[in-house]
Formats: sequence, structure tokens, C-alpha cells
Amino acid sequence: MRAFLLLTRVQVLGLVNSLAPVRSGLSRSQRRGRIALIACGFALLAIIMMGYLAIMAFGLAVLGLARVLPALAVALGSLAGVVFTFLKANGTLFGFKDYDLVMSLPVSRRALVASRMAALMGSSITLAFCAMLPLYAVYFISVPPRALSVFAAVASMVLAPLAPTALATLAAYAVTWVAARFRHANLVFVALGFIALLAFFGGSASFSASVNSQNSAEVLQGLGQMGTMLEGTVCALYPPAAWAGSAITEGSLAGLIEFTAFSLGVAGTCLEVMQQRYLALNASLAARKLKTRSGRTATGEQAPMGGAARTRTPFWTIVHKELRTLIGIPTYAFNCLFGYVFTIGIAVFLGVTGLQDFVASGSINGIEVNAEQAAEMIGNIRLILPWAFSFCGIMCTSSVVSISIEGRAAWLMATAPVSTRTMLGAKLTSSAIPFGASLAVAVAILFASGEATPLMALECLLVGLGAFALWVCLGMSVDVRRPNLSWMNPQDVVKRGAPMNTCILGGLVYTFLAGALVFAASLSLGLVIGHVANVALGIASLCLGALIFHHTVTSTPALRA
Amino acid sequence: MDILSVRGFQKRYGDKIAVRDLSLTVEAGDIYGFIGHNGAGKTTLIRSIVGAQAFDGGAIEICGHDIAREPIAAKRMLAYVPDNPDIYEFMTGMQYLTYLADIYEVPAQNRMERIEGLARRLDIVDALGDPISSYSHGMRQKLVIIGALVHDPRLLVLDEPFVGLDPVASHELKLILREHANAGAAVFFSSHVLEVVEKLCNKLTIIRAGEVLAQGTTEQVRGDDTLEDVFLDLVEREA
Repeated sequence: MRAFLLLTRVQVLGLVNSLAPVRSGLSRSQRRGRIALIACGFALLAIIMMGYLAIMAFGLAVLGLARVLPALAVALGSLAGVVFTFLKANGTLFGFKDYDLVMSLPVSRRALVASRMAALMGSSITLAFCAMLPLYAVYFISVPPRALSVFAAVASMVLAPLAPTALATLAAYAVTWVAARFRHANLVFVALGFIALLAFFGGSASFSASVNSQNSAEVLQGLGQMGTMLEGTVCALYPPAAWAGSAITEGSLAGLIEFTAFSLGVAGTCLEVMQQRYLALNASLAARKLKTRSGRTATGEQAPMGGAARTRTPFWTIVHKELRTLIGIPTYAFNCLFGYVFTIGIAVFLGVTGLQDFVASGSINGIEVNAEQAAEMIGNIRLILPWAFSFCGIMCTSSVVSISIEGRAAWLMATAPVSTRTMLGAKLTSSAIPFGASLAVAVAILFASGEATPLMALECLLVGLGAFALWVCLGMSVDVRRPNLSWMNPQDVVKRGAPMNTCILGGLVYTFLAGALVFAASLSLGLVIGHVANVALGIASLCLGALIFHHTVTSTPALRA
Repeated sequence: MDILSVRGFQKRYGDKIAVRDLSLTVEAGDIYGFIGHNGAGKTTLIRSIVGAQAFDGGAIEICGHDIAREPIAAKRMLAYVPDNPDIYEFMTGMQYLTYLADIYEVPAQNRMERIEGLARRLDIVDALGDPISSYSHGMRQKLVIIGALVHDPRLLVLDEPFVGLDPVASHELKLILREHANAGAAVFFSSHVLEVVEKLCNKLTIIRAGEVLAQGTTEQVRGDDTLEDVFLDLVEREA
């Protein structure tokens, strides 16, 4: 137990250090201040999310559907950490940098695996707590609390994420194990990971759609039936939610025992499987490297000198290297490619469902619309679409942290005879190309499906690339001024760094406000003014981005390591 | 013209002065040794010479180009081998070397000859197609050395270059450094292996706590003793 606690403590210290690295040059009090600031930021986000969930739960309670809330809370809490765990398992549980050091310690493998899983479980439990507490609070305001119900609710906040988190680690294990068989394991891991995540999102969307369709179905006679159907759907798709739900709503001790046994049983089994297979997985990761080498020498093949014959300019060689970095670091790829996938995903969704048909169907969220209103609505939705695309582009862009991601190899960048303008320009281009391509594909899809006009296509490109240039250059300038080159895990800079958060949060506020402004202008002054505003804002964003880039370059004569 | 000229170099970390008023000159054909105990300021000076770190006072010129005012022209003239061969693990050895050759704009024919020749000498040809993540410390060190020589730099700056190399590669590296200097370039390196410095270098500087203790040709500094005796005597006397 002592070993487990010590190993878990190291995990927590690592997380805290990643927020304000010891080697960042900050004093102790400055580091504490930064950690407190980041904690406040996360607390604020958590409060916003909890407030939103509380409003939703209150709405259900007002409709007389309070009894649905416990099962819904358990289902929500179970899913809360799944994606997070899937993405974090490779790098936290296995394939981590200090594997050799940790394995040489005189601690049992079970304690080591448990400590690593505890870090993942702890994160999932925190997310589950934020998701479930508002629903339970509303439930116990609506329904008089009983001792067993309250106990079951509290226990479920800890138990609910255990089984799904454990299964997510197994899924990550399976993907890593399969990927390790291939020469380009990182690329395969990213591809398989995307497939798994898209399947998860697809499944969640189907679940949501099935609940929605049953809500709005005409066959529903009343709210009582609606509640029964909602509860039935949740419980049928995830039976443990039904067991926990019955423990809370009916005070069923059997339900609580079933749920506890399931949660602890699955988590315990996964821990056991993982610790049994732990050495084999890490050995297969190491064997991949050896196989690559022995395979080449066995065939007597010469070293691939041909690769050296192809030359590129320094600019394009850096662009090429940045794209390789993106694909070469799975965490980096997962986070930074999502926006591009979403960009195309939105276009595919609109192309398939058809904006025209969707709006002209006569009812949106239960509000009836006539043909004239539908036409006006389509015009306004088309005005906002470029802003949705632009947010996809800035939601997590590799260029923003491209200085920090160099890490300990930053000496190469610092000693290269390349100007800051070329270096940063190439780094910016490396993400502008995939975003520009995904934007072009998205526009082409909309155009081909008849959902976009030439003007809308132009607006999508201008606004998308403009907002991208503005916020990516701003995030990049923060990274150039204060890079974190001492990271141990890429997530330290990809997820938690100030540059990325500047870009994402600033970009979120900007796109939301700008979209709202354009929408308001269109409503009050006419559609033409809305289009003019879009084009003007797109050009202004591009110019501002160029100015920020120029300022960053001129104020940074040389990059340092 | 001097290949490397350091005049009145000073570097602070907060209130602490890491290196104070250090000057040295490296000429064409020199193999210059830079020795001192751990934390003496060797890496601090080396990182400033190669442009990886800013400094607080003095001037550093490489082939007449000031590293602070003309960083790109200065960096074109030099190559750096750091004390830890931290490089892009997601690349293969060949991709890394091609990347550097592109950065330094080495023509295709020249780069192929140099890479192949150096890789054969350091016995790493078979591994060039493998990911760097699969390399041992010594193999990475060899790769960094090849990368440093691929553009035939006028000044080769190495920080503890012999750490991690096997005896054969270590011997080969000494030959390569000597050939490089004989061809009219210069080599500047730090090392704790005093026997290597004594045999290989024609000039050297000994520093302690950021201050020069001795400087000159190897014969001048060593006198009739071994370099190890001189170094220990100087360090103990100053302590």
C-alpha cells in the first residue's frame, strides 16, 4: 500500500509540475500563483458545466421526470472519463518515458499498474463528480432523501466511472498492441484511435438520437410515458445505470450491491489483466524497434541513401518535419487533428441531412416554421457556418505549441542557420495546410450537395483562415515568449499550456461573439449586411494575424533552447 | 582570420555569475580543448557560442560574424554536438540527416557522399533506416556527429563528445576531428577525459567557477607534468 501511495504521489506531482514546470524559471511563489490561477480556471469551467447540467436537471424535474435523474447521472458519470482515459492511457499506463526506471524499483507490478490506473481513475472520478453532482442535487431537492438513497448516490459518484475507465484502458491497450505490430506504429495508433473514438462518438450520438426520437414521437401520450421511455432507454443501453438508479430511487440494497460488484469487479479484472499483460505489451513495444532493425540487416538491404538525394528548401523541410512531428507523437496528433476531422464532419452532416430539408421540414425543436421563415433561417445559418468552421480550425492547432513541442531537441532549432521568420512561418504553414485543405474539402462537399453558394464558400475560406491566422499567431507568440521545453509528456504543452489555452479560449470567445454580431447585423440590417460583415471580419482577422506574426518575428531575433 | 573569437564573455543566471570575463581565440587548424569541473561554466559558454542561449556581456564571433547580431551567417559556419544527443525520435536516422542537409542547404551529391562515408566510418550504415527512438545513446551520439559534419562546418563545437561512444567509434572520432582541423577548419570541445584532451588538442583553456585558470598551447599549460596533474593542482590551489 505504501508503494502504491508513493507511486501515485509521483503521478500527482508530475501533473502539478506540468502546470508550472520547475525549470520554467518562475519563483516558488510565482509557480504557486500560476497553479492557483489554472485551478481557478478549471473550477470556473466546472461550475459553468455543473450549472448547465443543473438547469437541464431542473427542467426534467419540473416536467415530473425527477425519477429519471439518478440513472441519467450514472450514465453520464460513466461516460465522462472514457475519451480522456483512452487518450491518456498510452503514455500514462504504458509506453511512458520512465518505464525502465520505474520497473527497476522494488515494488510489485500490481502496485505499479494500480498507481498508474489510479491516476486515470482519479481524473475520471473528478469529471464524473462534476457531471453527477448537479443531477443528484436537483433529484434530492425534488424527492425527499433517504439515508440509503443518499449513500448510494455518493457511492455511485466514485463507482460509476470505474468500469468504463477500466474498459477504456483495455481498449487503449488493444489499440496499442495492434499498432505495435506495424513499422509505423504511431501512425497506426493514431488511425485506430480515431476509428475507436469516432465509433464511440457515433454510438453516443445514436444513443442521444434514440432518446430524442422517443421524446418527440407522437406515440407518447404524456410526460409519464416520456419519462418511462427515457429511463428505459438509458437502463437498457447501460444496465448498471438501472441498478444504481433503483438503489437511489427505491432504496434497493440489491441494486446497490449489484452496481458495486459490477464496478469493482470490472475494474479489478481489468487491473489484473493489465498487470498480467503489462510486461508483454511493453516488450512488444520494445520488440517492434528491434524487429525493424534485424529485418533490414537480415535481407542485406543497404541503408536508404536514396532518401538523401531529394532536396528541399529550409522552409519546406521544416514544414515537412513539423508534419512528421504531428504524426510522430500520438497525443499531439489526436488533439491537433480533431479540428480538421470536425470541419469535414460538419460539412458531411449538413451535406447528408441537407440544410434546406432540415429547416424546411416544418419543425425545429418543436417550433413550427413556414417556408418564408425557413428561407430566412437558412440564410442566417449560412452566415454562422464559417464561424463554426473557424473554431474547428483553432480548437487545437499544432503550430501554437510548435516551439514547446521541440522539447529537449530544441537545440537543433536554436542552432539552425534559419531566420525566425522562416522557422515560424514554416511552423504556421504546417497547420495552415491541413486546415486549409479540410476547409476546402468541407466547402467542396457543401458545394457539391447544393448546400453552399459561391459567396458562402468564399466566406468560409476567408473567415476560417482569418480567425485561424489571428488566434494561432497569438497563441504562437505566447509560446515563442515562454516555451516549455522541459516537458516530460507532450500533453503538458498540448493540453495544459498557456499558448494553447490562449488560442482555444480566446478563439472560442472571438468566434462566438463575431458570429453573434454577424447574426444580429443580418437580422436587424438585412442578409446583405451580414455577408459584408463576414467578409470584412475575415479580412480584418487575416490582417491582424499577419501583424501579430510580424511583431513576433521582429521581436524575436533568434529562437533559444 | 580567427575561426572563433570570444571576448569578455559574461553570463548570469539571476544574481549568480556563471562565467566572468572569459576570452579565447580559436584559429584555423586548431583543436581546442575546454576543460573544467562539473558546473564550471563549460556548457554555458558552448551554448552561447552556438547561439542556443543569450549572454549578458562580451562578444562572440564565428569567422567574423557576431553570433548576436548576425546569427544566421554565424550559424552557417558552425555545427554543434550537445552533451546529450536529444534529437527527433519520430524520424529515422536518414530522415534526420536529410533534414539537417536541407537546413544547411547541402547539395544532393555532396550530402550523399558525406553521409555514406561518415556512416561507414562510425559503423551506423545499417541503422540509418530505423527510427531514432530505437537507437542506443551511442548510436544517437554517432548520428548527431554525422549530422554536425554533413555541411562541412568551419567550426565544430562539441560538448563531451566521447561520452557513450564505444572504443572503436571513439578512436574514429578522434581521427575525424584531426582530419577536419587539418583541412583548415577548427574544433572546439569540452571534455572530462584529460588524456584525450592532452593527446588531441593543440590549445586549451581550464576554467573553474566561470573564471579562466589557465590558457594557452597544450605544451604551455602542461609544462613538464601531465595535464591531469596540472588540472588537479590548479583546481586544488584555487579551491
